[in-house]
Order: sequence, then C-alpha cells, then structure tokens
Amino acid sequence: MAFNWFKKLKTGLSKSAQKVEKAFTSVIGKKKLNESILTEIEDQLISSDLGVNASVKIVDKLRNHKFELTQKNKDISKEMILHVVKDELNKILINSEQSLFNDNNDKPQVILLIGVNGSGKTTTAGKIASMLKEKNKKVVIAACDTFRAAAVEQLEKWASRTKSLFFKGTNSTDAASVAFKALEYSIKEKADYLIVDTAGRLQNKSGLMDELSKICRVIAKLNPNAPHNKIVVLDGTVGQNAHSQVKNFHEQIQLTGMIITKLDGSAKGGVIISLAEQFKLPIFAVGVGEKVDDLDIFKADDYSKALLNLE
Amino acid sequence: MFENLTNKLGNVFNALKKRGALTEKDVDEALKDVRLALLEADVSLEVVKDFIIKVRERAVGQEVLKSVTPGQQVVKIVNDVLIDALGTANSPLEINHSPPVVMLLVGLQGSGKTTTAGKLALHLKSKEKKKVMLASLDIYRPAAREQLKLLGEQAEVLVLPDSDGESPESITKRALASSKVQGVDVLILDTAGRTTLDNIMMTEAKNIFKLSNPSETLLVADSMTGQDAVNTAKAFSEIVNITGVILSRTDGDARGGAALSMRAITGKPIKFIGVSEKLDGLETFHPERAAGRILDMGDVVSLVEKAQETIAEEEAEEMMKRLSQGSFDMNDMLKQIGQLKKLGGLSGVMSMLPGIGKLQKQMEAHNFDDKVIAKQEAIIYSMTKKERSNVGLLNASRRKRIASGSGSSVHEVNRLVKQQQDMARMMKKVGKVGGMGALKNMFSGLGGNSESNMPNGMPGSIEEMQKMMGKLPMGGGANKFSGMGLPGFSGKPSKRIK
Repeated sequence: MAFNWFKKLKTGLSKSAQKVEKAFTSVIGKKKLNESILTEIEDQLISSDLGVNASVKIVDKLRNHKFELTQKNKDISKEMILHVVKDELNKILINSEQSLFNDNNDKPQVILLIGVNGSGKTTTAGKIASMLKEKNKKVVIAACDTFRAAAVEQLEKWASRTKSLFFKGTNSTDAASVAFKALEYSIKEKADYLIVDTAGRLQNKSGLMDELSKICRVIAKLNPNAPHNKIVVLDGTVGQNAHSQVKNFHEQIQLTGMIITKLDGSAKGGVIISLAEQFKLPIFAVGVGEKVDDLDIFKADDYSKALLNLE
Repeated sequence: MFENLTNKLGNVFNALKKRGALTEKDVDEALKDVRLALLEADVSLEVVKDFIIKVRERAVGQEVLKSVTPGQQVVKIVNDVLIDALGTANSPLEINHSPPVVMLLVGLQGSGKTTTAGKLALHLKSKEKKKVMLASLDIYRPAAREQLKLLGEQAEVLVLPDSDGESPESITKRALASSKVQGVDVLILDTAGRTTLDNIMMTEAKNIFKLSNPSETLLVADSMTGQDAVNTAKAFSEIVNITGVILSRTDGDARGGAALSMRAITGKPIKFIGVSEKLDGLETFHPERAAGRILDMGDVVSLVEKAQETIAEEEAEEMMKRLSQGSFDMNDMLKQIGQLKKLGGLSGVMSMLPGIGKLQKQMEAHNFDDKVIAKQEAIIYSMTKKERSNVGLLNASRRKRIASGSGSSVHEVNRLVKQQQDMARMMKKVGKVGGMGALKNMFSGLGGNSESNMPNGMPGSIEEMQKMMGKLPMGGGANKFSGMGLPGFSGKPSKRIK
C-alpha cells in the first residue's frame, strides 16, 4: 500500500518535479555549488510552496554543505545535491510521521475533521473510513456540515461506499448537537471509530470557529478524551495562507495533526514542511486522488523523494 | 505670531527638498522587500520575476518625493503597477449573444465551482433579468449534482434534471437542447473538479468546451491558492479558451497573490470574487483593494500619496512667492493651466464657486469653454524655454512661428501674451496689498448675482474673465494666496474637490 501510494504520489508529482530536475542537471560537472545554482534551487523550493523562509534555510544548509568528492566521484552529481536537500527535508518531516489509528480501549475513538471550505474534508472522511474498514474496524461517520447544500448527501454516499454506519441530524442545524448524538449512537453501536465531518470554515470567521470549540466541548461531556484526534485538512494547492489556517485552528481547538489532500495534482504542498517544523504536528495522511483508497499514511522519505523526483 | 507660523511652514517646506531621481541601487534595494512581500502573498515566482522587471523599468530614474525614502517611493510605484497589472474593475459577462448563452465553469477540485455556479445564476437572474438554467456535468463527486440542484432551488432558477449513467458530454448536449426548448437565456455548466495532470479529465473538459461553445469560460480559483496558480492557469488556458477568472473565498485572510498570477498567465480579467458562503456573496473585482491586500504595505502607499499632496502644496507655495515678486511668466501660466485641468477644467472650477452657476450657462453660450484652455496650453508649449520665461523676446516672427506651431493664429498668441502680462501685473499688486479689498471689489462687480445685471457683468473676453477670477478668493496673507488654477485659487485642489 505504501508502495502504491508512493507510486501514485510520484506520478502526481513527476510532471512538476521535472522542473526541479532540470535545474539540478546544470550542476553536473561543476565542483562547487555556486550562488546562481543555489538561487535556482531556492526558486524551485519556493515554487513548491515551501515559503521563502524555509527555502532560504534549506539553501543555506546546502551552501555550507561540504560535498565529499572521491576519486571515483570527482564532481558533485545531481544525486548528491538532491540527497542533501532530501535529508534536510526528512530531518524536518520525520517527526511528523505518526499513525492516525490508536488501538487502545478508549472506544469509540473520535476523529474530528476540520478545515477551510473545499479542502477535502468529506472525501477524506470517506477515505479514512475505508482505511479503517480494511482493518476490520466498525466505523460511524457523522455529518456535521449542516450548512453546505448536499454536504450530508455527499458524506452519506461515502458511508455506503465504505459500508460504514452513517449518522446525520434530524432537522437540526446545530453541528454540536449532531456531534453529541453521533457519539451517543457510536457508543451504543460499540463502534471502534467515529469520524466527524464538519462544515468548511474560514479561519477568520470567529463565529464559525467558536462552533468548533462547542463541538469539542459537547463531545467531551460523553468522553473527556474525545475528540481524540482533531485534524486539519489542508488543500495541497494552498499557499502560505496555510500558516494562518493551522495557527488559528490550533489556537481554537488544539489540533492533533494534519492531512494534506490533492497531491495528485501539480501542486506539491510544500507549505507542510514549515508547518510541520513550526507546529510540531504529525502529518497523518496524504490524499492522492478521488478514489476511495487514494489516501495513505505519510512517509517523510517518500514525500521528499517524490517532491524532488528521486528514485 | 503669524509671521512665526509662516516661517515655521517655510522651514518645513525647506526640509522637504527634492531628493533627485531613484537610482538603480535604490530600486533594487526596495524591490528585495517587494519580492518577498509578493512571494509571501503567494504570487507565483515566475509572475513575481516578470513583475519586478516591469517595476524596475518604471521606477529607475523617477523623481523621489520629498519626505519619503526612495524605498517608500518604490513601494508606491509597485502599488501602481500592481493595480494596472490586476486589470480593470468592471469586466461584464458576455451575455448578449443569441440565447442560450453558455457559461462554462472549470477549475480544480474544491475551488468553489458549484457554489459559484449558484451565485452566478442568482446574479444573472436578479441583476440581469435573465432566464437561467444550471446543469451539473459532475458525475464523479458524490452528491455534486444534488448540491447544484439545491442551489438552483435557492436561486429559483431552472436546473437540468439528473439522469444516471450519462457522460458529461451527453449531459452537455441534453442541457443545450433543453435550454433551447425552454427559452433559457443563460445556461451555466458546472463541471467536475479536475487536476491539470489528469489527461483524461482535461480531454473531457476540452470536449465539453467544443460541444457547448461557451460565451464565457470561467476559471474558478481559490484565492488561497499558492504557487500552483500558475500551473493551473496555464493548463486550463491550453485546454479551453478561458475568458475570465472568478476568485473564490476572498473573505478569508489570504493575501490572494493568486489573483495576480491568474491574471498574468491567462491575460483575462478577474470578473468576480466570492465574498461569502451565501448565494448573494459574489462581487465585482476591485484591483486597488486586491493590490493593497497582496502588497500589504498600505501605510507606505498612503504616506507617499500624502507626500504627493504636500509637494503640490509646496509647488503652490513656491509659485506664490514668485507671484508676489511679480515674476509671473509663461511657465507659471502653464502650471496654472495644469492645475486648472486637475480641478476639472474651467467648468469644474466654475461649478465650485458659489453663486456662479447662472454665469456658467452664459459662459457656455459665449463659447467660453475648456477648449480655450487647451489652446492656450498648446500656444505655450510651442514657445521655447527662453521665450516662456521671458515674453519680451516674442517679436513678430517668433509669434508667427508659435502660432503655426500650435495651430492657432497670431492674434490668439497676442491675446495670450497680453493676458499673461495683465495677470503678472495683477499678481504683483495683489501680492503687495493683500487680497481683501480686491475681493470685495470683485463681488460688488458681480452685482450680487442679480440676473439682470449679468450681461453687463459678463466679461467680454477671456482676459477679463480671468482677471476677475484672479481677484476671487485670495483673502489676505501670502499663505492663502497660493494662486493656482486660475489665479487666486487655492493650491490644494484635492481638498477643494472634496
């Protein structure tokens, strides 16, 4: 599965990664990394949404890096440079490798998915359910997006696709009360997991942000540990605004992790690198397609390799 | 006491000396920060690079205003170039073809196409009074069609009914046929979100485009998009003929550099922005606001704007000084004409004066209009620099040359020269005695606005008119008599206009 994901991610990224490769190709044959090549690398990292600061930091490491040249390897090869960059990325990302699933006895484990509109929460909810189904877990999916047209129907279809139990509110417009009842239902059903899908909200809308706190508060009445996971779903095409998103959601409800979606497109989602570093949050999974199994656990090395088009 | 104040003001103006032109070094230094600001606002790198080159060309050699640093001056130039680059505020939709006019919405997953389709439908129905039909071609995302159906119901427009197992291409044909039959004015086609690397899906988009022959093909893009905006814009432009961009979720706190990237790559206007989740949350795009947000250096921009106002004041001050010394030459006159034009021309000035509305009509009847001003300007421009500062040089042959150079007659040149000399004399006088007396005379001359007096009070020539105007609001001290526009007008046109 991991291999599948890597392959998919790589195909997704390859088109854009070719650009990176080209920049590095010109390095071959030169003994030192000169400033113009460092600038090129910096540009490419910036183009992958790493942000200026993170890109400059990595390039600084590269600038100070002493490449070991051997008799056999007289020149700094493309691979050598890429591996240095990859190692730097891995150093940051390795701490973010963490499993979303926790098989302890505090059941049902509640996973709350939040994020801005259109980031892919509902699709991700369906895919997480599918992953759990493969592990033979009993899953309830709850539709707490009581605002967007047909959001409930969309999630309901994912529930039936993944053969999960589905919970929706009855004429209730209060997301927190739907979440509360969903957890009651999940406890009654002895479910292993409850996945709560919420409405998309922009992180600067304080009313909607307060609603998130309310959902957490209300769920905690049934189980003080719930929601066990509060995950922000980030769109892979997002730029530096992801910083504002994570910061605000984190301040609001203390996130436990991130999931980044749509990495099958030309966007590389490089902003997660500085997010992982700054907020010390796990990256639980990456979304690489629209199909039910197009989600897999995050592997730092696979991601870095795919980003840099390394074998 | 007043003297002290005047001195103080004088000192302030002295401190605001011109710094000379922006050097390459000034510009490059400032552009480093600008580059960073643009990248942090998520403008795509290649767009940033082109943009920086453009700004550099515009900025090097420009005069730096007093009281601002060269860096601040560059930021102001960046802001101006950015506004230009972002395009125009009002780019209406092409809806005046023979119905059904087709609007095709394309974009990545989650960019906001379906919600935007609903918003567009409501907009076209309520603002443009069109009969609208919505059709969803998204057979992939679960409940996408239900979503559009609900939005259509909210907007109270027609929605093409679903039928399972149909391809997007065949839904397109059905939608076209159905909207013809039902006499629909505008058919909005909402497509599935697609990644630009997905060849099958991009081919599908191309097919739909060919089949539906849309008047508008709108790329819906999330305003939070990062560097990938440039890839998205390029890929969709290659596949379909994009006619405009709609930026969604501008009510977030993203700085929205994607607007510039999208605009630069597609070359097409940003037609609308999404400003809320509600169905009426669709607005036209304002480049100034977008620029302010992207650059996020609003304080610097307003500082420079303020300095620009100040420089106008200072110019006025300087001219006032010259006037009171009686050295009013053609250059001064040219400046005045410039100021006058800024104020909205002669008619603009006249309309601002109390009690002069009736006079204005008569002036119009006497062919006393802004063309006269334009002609005067042309005459002065046809003079050499030496001639402008010393009209004494103007002998017959020079006057003939000036006349032919400016497309006027020698008679008109003569008249302008005489006018300038009259004004110079007047200035000197006023500068010495202070204006109150003259002002009083002026008003009594106007005969208390009595209409019957008007024909008599009406100046027979432009010279007389300007003489009279010259006496207008000069009230007292040298400070106030900063004589712009027609002589005697305040040198702070922007404030006057407000």
